[in-house]
Amino acid sequence: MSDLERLEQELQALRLTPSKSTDARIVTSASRALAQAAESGVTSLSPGKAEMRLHLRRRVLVAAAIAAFLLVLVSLVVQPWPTKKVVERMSAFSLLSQAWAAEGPLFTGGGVVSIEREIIVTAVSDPDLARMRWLPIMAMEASGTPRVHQLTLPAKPDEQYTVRDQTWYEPATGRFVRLLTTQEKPIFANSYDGRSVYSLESDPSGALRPVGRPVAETFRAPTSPAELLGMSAGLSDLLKRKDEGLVLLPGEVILSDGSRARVVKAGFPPAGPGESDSYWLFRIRVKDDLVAEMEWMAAGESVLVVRRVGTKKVEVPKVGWDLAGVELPAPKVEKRPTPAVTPDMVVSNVSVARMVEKADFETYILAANPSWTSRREITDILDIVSPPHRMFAITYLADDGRHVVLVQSPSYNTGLGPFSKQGNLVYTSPTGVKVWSGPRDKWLAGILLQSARAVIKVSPAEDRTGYLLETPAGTFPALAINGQVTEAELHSLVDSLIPAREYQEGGPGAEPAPKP
Amino acid sequence: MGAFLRIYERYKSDVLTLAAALLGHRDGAEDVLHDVFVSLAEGLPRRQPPVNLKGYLLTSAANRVRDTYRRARREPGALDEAVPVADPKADDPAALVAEGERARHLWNSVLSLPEEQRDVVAFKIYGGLTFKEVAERTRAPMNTVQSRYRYALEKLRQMLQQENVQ
Repeated sequence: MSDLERLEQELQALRLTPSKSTDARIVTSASRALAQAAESGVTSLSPGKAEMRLHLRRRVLVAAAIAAFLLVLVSLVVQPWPTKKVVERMSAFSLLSQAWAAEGPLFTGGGVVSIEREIIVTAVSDPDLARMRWLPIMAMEASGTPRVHQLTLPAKPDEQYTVRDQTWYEPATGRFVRLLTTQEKPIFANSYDGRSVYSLESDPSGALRPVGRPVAETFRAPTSPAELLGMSAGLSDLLKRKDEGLVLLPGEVILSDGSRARVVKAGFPPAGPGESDSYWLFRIRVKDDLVAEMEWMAAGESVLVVRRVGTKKVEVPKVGWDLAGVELPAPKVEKRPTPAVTPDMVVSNVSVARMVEKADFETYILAANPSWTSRREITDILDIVSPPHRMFAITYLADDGRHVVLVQSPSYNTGLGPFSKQGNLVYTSPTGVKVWSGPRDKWLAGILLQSARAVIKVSPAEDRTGYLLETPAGTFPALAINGQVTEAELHSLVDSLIPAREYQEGGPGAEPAPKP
Repeated sequence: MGAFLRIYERYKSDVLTLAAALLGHRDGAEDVLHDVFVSLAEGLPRRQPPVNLKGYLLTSAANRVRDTYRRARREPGALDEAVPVADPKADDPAALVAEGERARHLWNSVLSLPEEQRDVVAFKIYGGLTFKEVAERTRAPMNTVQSRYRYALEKLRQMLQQENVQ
């Protein structure tokens, strides 16, 4: 070691320590600042502190459920692989579109492209937030159909960990491997070796094993691999939503690697003062237009960060195209919450029979489609807040744009129920379905309609209407109409609600019974 | 408050050292330390600290030095007390005393460097920046930054040698 290198080491070891009086001054000032900030947060809410905390927790749950609903529905549009659109520059929308387009060239050229990302599950103090984090994760089936799974990323409060997300792709053949690991243990893998599609599946003992299935004749490797393997895979519909849900934040930020980035916020504004906010921040690097980081914010806290680590060319992937070489440790009972993949976050256009079969609560449906609508579509979604329960969104498409969306889920039943009492009872149907109306009606309608964008294809109307329903079964479906309805139309809608089970068993408009 | 105290204890020396190296004085550096951490505390109830917390705090400190404190900067004055973070010879009292004196001398030599050289040393050693990042921060060509760093180390080495001779 040279003299100068030794000197550098000595310099690096030098540190000043604040005087005790400075320590005391800072701790006192910080304590006051923390108390003031906390106090200002409390006074804007009502009524007692304990009740406020309970409400806040529920709001967090609801906000997360809503964000989840938004994201899983937007992911529907990846069927089939979408084409890119040319859009105008200088807006949040075009910036995200540019970032999306910039990812395409990463999957081109000779050799094998190796891409690495990391998913940082950040330390949060709220136990509900710590428990409920997740990401949509795309996988390919042997039939060639993309599937949307849920990667759950739970943690204990104040716990932080990182998931390593590695992808290899061979542009010449379309072969790919995607492998997610935490502490060197695999939690998800999906690959295509030119003949079969492989994935990690649990055997009866709980151990993960690679399972290969020969591809179908109709199988085609993805023409847009970024949509399957890219950073924003599963979130592509954000790029089609040129509306108030996307905001380009002013200025630039400096990323941890020193590069400059613009920030796009994607989400919904809170319902009102003191309400929880839940949104994504996309940090788009100025020098290459790539999304360098995605950060999920909820209730004012950073709950998840997805960060691009690097891209390089290699000769062969670290593991086989058939997942050979993936190290599979013996299963063991973990005392702490661990990341896991739950299949099928979203299944579109399902039957009433499937809804009845999959739901573990009483679902309701309109006995007849509203007179101004022409078609019904049911979407089966994982209830993010309480997996493995399912959430169901029934959309009635209208010719005049006044689409109707009815959403039901266990988390809505527990999370939205208490809010109903904050509104007014405006109607009770002959069958006992209550209609509640409150100050959050329009906000809730906006969320439901935005979330159904993949089906209804239009922005929520300014004059949209929404209601919270309470059924005799004790469930709380949320209803939105993309426009104004008359009192008679609303009453007709609610009067028409019947248990889906009854509908299936021969009510008006009943579907044929499912084959055993 | 517990989370704040953990953060403060962990990073206070890093922030104070960078601020002092940039300012050339300890008093102003303690004010920078105060402002950086109180600002962090004000934001904590509303948002989670950034993932790269150390980088965030050091950048905040450097920005505050640039925006506020450098206008009122004073010349280096009384001796500062700098100590090695980790002392591998802590069980040897003679070595400990000698290292403490050498550390103090080295630190005050850093403070006596010309401002341009001190900035480079501060950002590189205590800010954890690369030469490229230092060049962007100081708005100087990268070659110039590298030269300034080399000159600074050479000057520090000479100062230490002179001290040893005395």
